[in-house]
Order: sequence, then structure tokens, then C-alpha cells
Amino acid sequence: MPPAAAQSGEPAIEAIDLRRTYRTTTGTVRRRRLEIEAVRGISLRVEPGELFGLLGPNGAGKTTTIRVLCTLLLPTSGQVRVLGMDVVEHPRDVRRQIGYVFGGDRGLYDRLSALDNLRYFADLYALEPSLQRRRINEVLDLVGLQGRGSERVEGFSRGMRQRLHLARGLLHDPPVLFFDEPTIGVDPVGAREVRQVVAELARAGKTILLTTHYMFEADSLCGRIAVISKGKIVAEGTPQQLKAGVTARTIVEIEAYGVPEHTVARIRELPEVEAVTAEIHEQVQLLTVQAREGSQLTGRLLQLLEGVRVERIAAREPTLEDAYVALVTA
Amino acid sequence: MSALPLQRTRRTGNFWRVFFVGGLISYRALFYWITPWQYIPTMLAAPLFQILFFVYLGRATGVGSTTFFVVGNSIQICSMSGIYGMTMALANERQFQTLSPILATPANRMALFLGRGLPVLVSGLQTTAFGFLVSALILDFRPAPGVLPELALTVLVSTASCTGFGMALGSFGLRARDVWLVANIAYFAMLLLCGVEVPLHQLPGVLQVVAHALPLTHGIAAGRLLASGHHLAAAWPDIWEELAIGVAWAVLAFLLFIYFEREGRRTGSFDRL
Amino acid sequence: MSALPSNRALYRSGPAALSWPRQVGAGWWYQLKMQAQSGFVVLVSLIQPLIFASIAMADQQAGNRTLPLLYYALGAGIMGIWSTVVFGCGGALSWQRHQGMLEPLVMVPAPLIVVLLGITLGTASVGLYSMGATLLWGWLIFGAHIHLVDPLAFGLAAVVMIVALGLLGLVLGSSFVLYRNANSLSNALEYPVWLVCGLVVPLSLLPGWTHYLAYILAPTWGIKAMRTAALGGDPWPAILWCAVSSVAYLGLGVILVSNVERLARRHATLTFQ
Repeated sequence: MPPAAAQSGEPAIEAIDLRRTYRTTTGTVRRRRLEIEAVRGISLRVEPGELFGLLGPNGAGKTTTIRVLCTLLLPTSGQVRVLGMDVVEHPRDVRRQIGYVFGGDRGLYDRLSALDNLRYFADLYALEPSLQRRRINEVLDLVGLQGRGSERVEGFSRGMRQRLHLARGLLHDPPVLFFDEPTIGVDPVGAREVRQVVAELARAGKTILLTTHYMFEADSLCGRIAVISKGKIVAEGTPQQLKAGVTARTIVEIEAYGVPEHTVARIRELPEVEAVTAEIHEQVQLLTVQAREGSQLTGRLLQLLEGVRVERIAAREPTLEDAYVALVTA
Repeated sequence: MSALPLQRTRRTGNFWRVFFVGGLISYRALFYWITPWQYIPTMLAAPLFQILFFVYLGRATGVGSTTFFVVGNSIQICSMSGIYGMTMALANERQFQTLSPILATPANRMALFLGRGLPVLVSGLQTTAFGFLVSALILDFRPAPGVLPELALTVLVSTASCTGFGMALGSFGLRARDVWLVANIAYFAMLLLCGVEVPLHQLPGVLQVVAHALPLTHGIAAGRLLASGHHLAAAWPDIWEELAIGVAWAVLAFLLFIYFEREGRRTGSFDRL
Repeated sequence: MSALPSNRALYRSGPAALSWPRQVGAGWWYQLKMQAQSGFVVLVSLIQPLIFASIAMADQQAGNRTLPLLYYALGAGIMGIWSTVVFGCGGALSWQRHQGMLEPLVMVPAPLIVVLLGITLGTASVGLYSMGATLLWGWLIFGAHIHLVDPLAFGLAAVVMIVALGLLGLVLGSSFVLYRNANSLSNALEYPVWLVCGLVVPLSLLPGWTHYLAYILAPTWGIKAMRTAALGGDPWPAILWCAVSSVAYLGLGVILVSNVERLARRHATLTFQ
């Protein structure tokens, strides 16, 4: 019998100063040992029934964190508990109560049908045989794959695979779900369907921890978000709270052609400017200048950009994306 | 933008560069078993045990002699490189989708194509030499010392001929989907047909005809003659035939390559797997 | 979410171990289903054994014919089963990792060894194709006299051997996954085992020290059991030793698999990185 599931007040997921270091070797002739600290002291707490987002750029440590929480990886130090059970000491008991869904093309048996994939795992999850068929049909319905069960997975689109991943993670009806970049590489329509399922699961009372690098996804789905950058949590709160961190700012967006690097540096040096990011969209550069609230920058910016062809310059309100950029580029 | 005259104007200089350097680079990029961890088990240990296995099979069935199986298998193992290595050198471009960029360059096709054969040939020679050496050490394989240069010549011709055959198979890989199946079948069929393990006269007539069109059959026959003390004169006919067969397969391979390149440009099949 | 009251009700009641036979069976069934559709598997379990069977039987006919054709047909069949096991099971963990399946398989509450056992048993069963094929081929092409002295013992020997090989496959798979390239190791272990286990070469022809190796390998007992059941003799000691070896492999497998899981959790090698 596993230790009692979360009592009231106990968090569903809890990490205290989680650290994870990888040791690798590089080079072929002279091998050097490298230590890479992927997660450098993360503490978080997810209450039962919450939809919690872990947001961060690639390489920030999201996947490592979620793998530790799921019992797939041992932490180097720190304490991690799911439903009150230590993930290091009782991995098997934890696994009975969690589902892990990850994105990507792999993770399913291509040569088997969707039904066979689920039947196999239904047995591996030791589900009661007399209930298996009903449960499998239920999860297929839930993810919108009803009727496609007898098709081989190799013919599935990325979005359908993702939904089958979800179905598999839900087979044993776990109270806690972990989603690792569930919409990555999925077309917009498919991604929206996946998000709808996630939202429904949250409404039904599941505890969900989701990692993503899509800001709008975290914003629209999650009740609380932790922003992770370079192995640490740099901010935590509701989407509103995170945006508040940047509402005391003015955002000026500039679309221009061929802004030289030294001009960007001069913009950065302006006293009111907090951050400048430059993106290239096809041939146009998009400069996003974050400045202190109330700054009147437009005139000076245009002066600095003399000689450069400017398409558009406009001030706007900050969004969660700006908060995110500010946090992860700090 | 660069004002430098970047492209070499002398075409011949480039030919040899593409042939040698390009060939070596592509070999390193595409040959699967290149690290020692893979090379030693696959290209050295497995062939060595193959020799031992068949020598003992010969003893169990009372067929041939140690020399018969040592020569046959030591020469045959060059096809690990000649068939598999060559197939990788060509077909893997398609898998990595690097075929289009390569064919978009003006590089001389013959240099491109044949240059890949050179590392494969060298690797095949290494494997065969290894086989002979270890057989001499642990089995009672004792060719007359004077025969070694002639045996080396036979090995060179056989390995080159097998590489030519491998090129033809590899050319198919530029077009066909399941080139690996074909390469595997060819490798095993040669084990049965080329007189490696089974004396040629034991095979049914039609298979003997096929054997004479394949590489290695004549080279192995020549090698056996030399190793058992015959003069070079006795082995020359087989050596010449082996050479001719090798050249024929290489020519066919090159023609296939040119044909598939043209067809690939027409139908867009380079990157479709 | 579910009309069913709680997650606990979905789970089978009783100790977890009660589910193990069903879980092994599920793995066996689905693995067999997948392998039966793979081109590579067909090659290794059909074409390669048939070629080797042909070589052995042709040599028998060319030689002193002391051993009957059935001897070689059986031996070649088990050679095929071994190839399936050394590639299919040896590479099983690596293949699962490549498919991204290791993480989902570790995430289930069933112990990893139970999951893997189903997979390796299923793979070993595919080897039965080889046995059937070489016997059929021997009869059709070489006119081998396929008569089994004790068909019941023969069938039982085959089953016990498949189980033993599935367990040996578990040992191989959980060792190979720690090596850089499982496929290369598999390549290197085909011929040695064929030779040492006396599959087509009587053990009496091999140096005495190799017999110690032979006795710890399941194919040795498998071929002995099936040969005596087919050609005459007492198969029961060999069947017994085959079963004993299964138990030893299981014990070794338990240690190795828990080691793999521990290492994977520590060093993040569950994913294809």
C-alpha cells in the first residue's frame, strides 16, 4: 500500500532546493570531464488541482526538472515529493499515481495500432482486465481519437501522436499529470485541441505541471507560472503578477531594415532603457525596446536610427512575453 | 561579399582533390563503423571468427583443407568493406539528405564517385591482411614465403573488383529504397556462390554461371592456387578474369550513377526516401 | 474524468506480482507482432539461416557424409535463432531507447525486468521461423530426411530453448546497452557462439577449453536436446541443463537490469541523447 495520498494542506508536487548536475566527457583524444549544472536549486510547490506552468527557453532546465519530478532522473541533491511520497525512495508508488506525457515523434510503437499501444500499456499498468476495454475507449474519446484506434501509429500526424501520448498517460487515471512541451511541433489547430484537453483535465480536478517555451500557452492555460532560466527560477506567480513586473514599463516596437549593431548598443545605453531585443522576421528587424514608464523615447530613437530605413515605430502596453524576455535575458 | 577569386579555375587540380580528400572526408562522414568501438568488433573480430568457423566446418564435413578455407574467407572478408562500406558511402548520402547539395556542385562526377572507392578499398585490404595474418598465427596456414607478393597482388585485384561490385550496389542505393536488403543478400549470396565455403563444382550449373560473373570467385581460385604452391603462371588467367569482372562492374556502377543522377534531376527523387 | 470512482478501482487488486505473468505475456505478444512485420528481422531469421544451411548441407554432400543432412539443417536453424537473439535481444534496450520508448516503459509500475522479459521472449520466439525454414529448405532442396525420433521431446526442447534464449537475451540486452554500440557487439558474437556451441561443428573437434564456454551457453544444450530428440539418443539431460541455464540467466538478468535502471536514473541515459 503506498503511503497515504496528499492530506489536505499537503502539496501535490513539492521540490525543495532541487539540484541536478550532469557529468559528461568531451573530446576524443584528450578526454575532459565536464560538470554541467542543469538545475541549480529549484524549489516549487504545486497544490492539488492546480495547473502549474514551468516556462523557460531551451536549455533552461525544464525537461531535467520534470524528469526528476517524474522519477526518471535522480536529483543530485534536494528533496522531491509527489503526493507526499519521496520520488527517490518510492518511485514505483509515485508512478502509479502520475502520468507523464512528452512531445515529439518518438515514444510510441509505430508498427502497432493505437489500440494495441494502449492495450499493452494497460497491462503494464496492471489495470483490471475486465475494465481495460472500457477505459481505453474512454481515453480515446477524451483525446478525440475515437474511431482511429485500429490504425497504425506510423500513419499518424504529429498532433494525433501527441493525443495518443496523452491517452496513454491517462489510462490509469492518475491524479497528477506531467506534460513536457506537449504542443511542440504540432500544427496550430492540433495544438489548440491538445490545450483544450489539458484545460478540461484541470477543470476536472487533476493536478497538472506543464513545461513549455510558448508564453501564450502558459498565459492562457496556467493558474500559476514559474519562469526558469539557466537552472533557476527567476520569477513565480500568476500571469497577472508576472505582467505586473513589467507594467511599469513602456514598450516601443521598431520595424526597420538593417540596424547596425552599434546603433542597438547606443539604444541600450539610453538612461531610461531597461532592455533591447532584436529579432529578424524575414528581412525586417524587429527591435523591442523596454523603457521605464512614461519615457518619451520616440524622438531620440528616431535620431539614433537616422540613415536606417524605419518602417514602423509604435509604443504599446507590455505583455507576458515582454515580462518573460525581461526575466530570461537578465 | 568577397572579391577573392574563390573558385579554382584549373579543373584538373580540383579533380584529384575531390578524388582523394573529398573521398576521405565523405568516408568519415558516412561509414558507420568508424570508431574503434565499432570497427574492432565488426571489421576485425567478426571476420576473424568467420574464418575459424568455416575452417572447422570444413574439418567436420571433410571438405577442402585449412588453406582452402583460410584463403577463401580471408579474401571474402574484404567485402565487409567492399559491399557494406561502399553501399554506405553512396546510399547514406540519401539518408542524410546531403545528396542534393553534393550534386549541385560542379565537381567532376568521376572524381566524386571513384574517390569514394579508395578508402573503401584500403579498408578492405586491411581486413583481408588481418585475416591472413591471424590465420598464419593461430591456424596451420603456411603458404610458401616466395608466394606472398603474388598473393598480395591477387588480394589487391580481388578487393578492387569487389569494391567495383559494391559501387554498383551502392548506385542502386541512390534510387532504390531497400538497398540494405539487397546489400545483405548480395553479401550472403557471395558466401555461398563464390566458392568461398563450397567448392564450385558442387553447385548446380546455373549457379556456377552466376558465380563466374561475381567478383571474388576468380580471385579466390587464384589465391588458392598460389597458396598451395603453384606458380604465378597458373594463377594469371584467374587474376585477369577477376580484374576484368571488377572493371566491368565499376563501369556499370558509374553508368548507373550518371543515369540515376539525370533521372533524379528529372523526377526529384534525390531526397525522397 | 472517468465514470469510474477512483484511480484505485482501475488497478487490479492483490499483490503486484500477480500481474507479472500477464505483463510478460503482453510484452511477448506485441513484440512478436512487431518483429514479424520487420524486413530486417525477416532477413536475419530467414535468408541468412537458409544461406548457411545451404553451405553446410552442400559441404556435407561434397565431403565424407559422416553426419546426416538433418544434423546440419537443425544446426543452421539454431544458428538463425541465435542471430535473432543476439541482434534482436542484444539490441532490444538500445532499440527501445532509440524509439523513445524507454521512458514510457520505465514509468509503468511494473518492474523493468518484467517489461523487458516479455520483449526478449517475444524476440527469441521469432527465431522459430529460422528453425522451420531450414528444415523445410533442407527437405525441399537437399532431400534431407526429416524424421523425428521423439517429436514430443523435440517440441519441448524447442520451447525450453526459446525460453532459455529469451532469458539469455535479457542478459545480453542489459549488458549491450551499456556499450557504445550494441549492433557492433552483436556482429562480433554471431560466429563465436555458432562455433563454440557445436551447432554445426561437433564439440569433439574443438579444443577442450572451449567446452567450458559451451556449457554455460543455452544453444549448446538446445542443439544437443533437439538433435538427440530428432536423430536418436537421450534428450532429457540436455533439456534439463537448458532449463537450469534459464534460471542462472534469470538471476543474472535481475542484477543487470536493476543496474541499468539505477545507472539510467543517475546518468540520464534513458533518452537518446
